[in-house]
Amino acid sequence: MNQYKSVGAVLLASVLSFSCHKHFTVKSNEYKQYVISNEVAADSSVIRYYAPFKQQMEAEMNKVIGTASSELEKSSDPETSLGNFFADAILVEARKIEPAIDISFPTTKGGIRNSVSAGNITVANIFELMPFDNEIIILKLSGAGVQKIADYLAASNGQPVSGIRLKVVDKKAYDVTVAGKPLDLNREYIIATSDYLANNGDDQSSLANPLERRNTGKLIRTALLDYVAEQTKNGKSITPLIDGRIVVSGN
Amino acid sequence: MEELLFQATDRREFLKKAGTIAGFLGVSACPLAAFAGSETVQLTILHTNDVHSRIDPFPMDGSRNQGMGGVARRSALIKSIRAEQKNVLLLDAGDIFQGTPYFNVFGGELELKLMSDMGYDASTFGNHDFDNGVEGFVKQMHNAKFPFLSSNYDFSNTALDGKTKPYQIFKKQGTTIGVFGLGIELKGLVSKSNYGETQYLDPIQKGNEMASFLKNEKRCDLVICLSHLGYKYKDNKVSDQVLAKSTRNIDLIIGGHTHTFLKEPETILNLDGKATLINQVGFAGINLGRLDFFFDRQSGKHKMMAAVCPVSEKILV
Repeated sequence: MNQYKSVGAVLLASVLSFSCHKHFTVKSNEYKQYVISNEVAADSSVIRYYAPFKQQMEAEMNKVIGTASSELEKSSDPETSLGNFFADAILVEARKIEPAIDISFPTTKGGIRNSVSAGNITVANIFELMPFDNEIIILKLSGAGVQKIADYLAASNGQPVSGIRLKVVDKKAYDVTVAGKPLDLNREYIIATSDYLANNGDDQSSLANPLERRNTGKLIRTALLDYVAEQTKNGKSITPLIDGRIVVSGN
Repeated sequence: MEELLFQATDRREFLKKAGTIAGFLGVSACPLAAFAGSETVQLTILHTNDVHSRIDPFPMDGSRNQGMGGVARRSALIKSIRAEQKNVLLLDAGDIFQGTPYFNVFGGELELKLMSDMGYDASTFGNHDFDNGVEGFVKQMHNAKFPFLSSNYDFSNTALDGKTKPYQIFKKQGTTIGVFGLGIELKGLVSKSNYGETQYLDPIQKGNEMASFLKNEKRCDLVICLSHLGYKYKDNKVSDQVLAKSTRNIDLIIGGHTHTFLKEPETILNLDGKATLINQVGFAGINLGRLDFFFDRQSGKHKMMAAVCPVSEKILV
């Protein structure tokens, strides 16, 4: 027994020196992932808890901020009233941030998720139109860069733009003008677009390698809401407009 | 101290065991494992990232994620797991805000209140959490009954000064878990007017410092990084993968930002050649991740045996 005691004493001494070391080590781990689908029962107390928030949110969303004199249609046409409204609105709102903007190309046709019906325009309508949280990006492009946009507009059968006009024959751009003047390959232009398109979204790279880029932090949706509210304040309704900015012929 | 006390009261048992060990040491080259009087502690880590104000499930509109997600379901699921598991940590990796009109109308109030109700233990900042500016976040912060952890944003010249924590230590059934947070570079991602004077610091350096501090000074058994750096990038931009292989002492990275749906955690060897796990569960609360860690409780005796092994052999020889 004495022998054991002495061993014990040595052991105890070493406990003192090691006692502040970790006492737990990970032996193994397991992973599981739960898919939150309709097969997971909902916590009714949570639903009850946020019901008043939901009501208020829906009331805010149903707030009327303007009117459309007739329907702004979503279609695959080269130029659409919905696309023109979108691009014109972003040109106006982006110029409040950077007055020198020449062109807006804020979305593709596919990026506009809903049409606007005739009559009241609600906050929800704008959210349905633009559910994505993309922000306005301001780019400085060379004339050749703007030519690339024109080429893409021609090749993709037109996209929502404002400030630029062109004719398209056999998917090629002709007679490109900016603010009424022929595109000048020797000057620079300022473009308003979205972070999505500027980052080569929708499988296009027409805005790649800008001379300069500025992120505004202003959501495109917020700009659309501001635009409609301002039109209403000025006693105007949103009116569908097709002005021949992209004319396709010879197909 | 706790352990020493335990040792003193259990000395008789301890001496008996010590003797038994001494008797066996000459027989086997490594007899210690066989005598480890161990007890397993299970820690359940539940996690989300990039929930983006998704309170209701996605609407049934034919879109890819229709009918998925929803806080009420997540809450019920978490409650059922808590009913089964004693040691649960519920964590989030940022971008709580922005994505549904709930955020536009309430500024994040509802998101933080519901997370508090579900018992979230900690979160970190995502870039979209600054969408109403630093001030917009501060305005809603009282609704969060859990800390926001950040080690690489210096908020000292902003309204968030003193309102965040670099780390949080959780004790679960004797285990010590250290959690800290890392955020993505805000420049170019968030408008300057929204992040203001927030200074972004190198996440690798800060992550290393914090993980070492938690592991070595705070003696954490597990070190978890809540990261909003993003899972991986084509270029060399810092990501969770880069973080994992460029640091030491991080056991688990719960990631976000890139909305990556990982089927299971990825294991990356860190600078010490030890495993660092990375996980990320998509976005919008479509999934809830669950990682169970099983710890061996190395009792005082076990620890002693391991520690004194060479000494005992010397005595016997």
